[in-house]
Amino acid sequence: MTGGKQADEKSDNELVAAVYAGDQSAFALLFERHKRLVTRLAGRFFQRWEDVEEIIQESFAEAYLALETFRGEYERSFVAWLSRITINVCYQELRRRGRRSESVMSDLSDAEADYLTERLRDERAENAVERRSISRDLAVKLLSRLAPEDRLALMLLNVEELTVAETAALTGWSVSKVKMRTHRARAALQKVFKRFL
Amino acid sequence: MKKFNRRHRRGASEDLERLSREALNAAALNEAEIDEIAGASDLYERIQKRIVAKRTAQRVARADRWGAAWLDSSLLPELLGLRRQPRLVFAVAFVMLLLFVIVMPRWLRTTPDAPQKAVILAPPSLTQTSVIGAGRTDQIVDAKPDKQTGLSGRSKRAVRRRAQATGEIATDFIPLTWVTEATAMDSGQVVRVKVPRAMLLSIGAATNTAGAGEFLLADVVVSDDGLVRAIRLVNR
Repeated sequence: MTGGKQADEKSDNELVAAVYAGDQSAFALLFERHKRLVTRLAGRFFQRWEDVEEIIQESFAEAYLALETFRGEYERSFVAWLSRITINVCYQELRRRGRRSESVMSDLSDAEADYLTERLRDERAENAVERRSISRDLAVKLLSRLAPEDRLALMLLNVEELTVAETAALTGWSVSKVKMRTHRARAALQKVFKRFL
Repeated sequence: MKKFNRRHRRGASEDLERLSREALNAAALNEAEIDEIAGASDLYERIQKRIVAKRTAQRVARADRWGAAWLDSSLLPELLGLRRQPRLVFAVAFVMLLLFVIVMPRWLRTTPDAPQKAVILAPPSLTQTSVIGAGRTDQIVDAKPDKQTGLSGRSKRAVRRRAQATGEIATDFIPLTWVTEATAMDSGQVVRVKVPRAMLLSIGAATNTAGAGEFLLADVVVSDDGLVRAIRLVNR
């Protein structure tokens, strides 16, 4: 019990050092500590549970195999490092799907088009639960029209509410690229909306 | 009117921006879903299996890469780091060129003499002598010896140099057997022996019968098959 408590009190860097030393339980502890973070990030890009689980597995496996490149004390926190790996895995998966044309979206249904128009007029929905479920499907359809880079930039800036510099650090892009990508992504998304309204 | 249009456009743009944000938020999983997915009991086991699989794949890929690289000689310089160090390449090339320039003339000098058409057995004469070495035996190590005597040019020169140092006088080597391509020797030894003076008759040299019982010093070339191929007479 005391040992477990001590392990919980260890910092991420100490746990990484323990994994280096061959303590596999330290990695399990890192997983327990950060699995929600990775799941939340994966859930921003993928909605099917199988896909999200796949991203979680891939991200933690990549992190484990790349632990030797983690220089937490001098570079960044484990959370930032793991987030970057997860974002990269998500981005690669989005690109792979784009190449394989798996996410070819069907046109919006009449109900979805009505819903969009209604939301644009800012009318209040009476059945919130139903509206929510329609909105999820609709959002997925709309976002699948965006390029992976655009989607990544929008998600990090608009939803995660990161700064441009943080987004640049997380994606490995330059600041100017993030700005340019975000501008294009917004224009692209608005173009998608306009097409259906 | 213009102002109205501008305000209308700005309003529409803000609405689209808001809608974009909503769509992005709506597409994301909610907290309950995140908890449920992250709380899957076998998730960590699957990650461990994934790690093992990826590690194995990395090893196989690494082995394949090395194998392919060895087969593809164009990748060899990259593996050796030569592409990153052009100076090293030039240095190695220069050293090899230097070695070639040094070794090539020597190698050319050791090439065998032109093959003789026939063996002319002439009586040995001490007037056409050369100074021969006093070494007991000389290992003939040249790969391309003279087909008549079994001595290569290099061995002959070495023997002569040693002989000059000791002051011995000897005839040239006289072949004792008719040598063809089939019986040509590759290597052999020079052995210092004493032979009876009567033996000179057998090689066609005129001799004084009065001293037939005397012994003379001679060097014989014995090939690897045990046959004596040539002889020369030595006078100390």
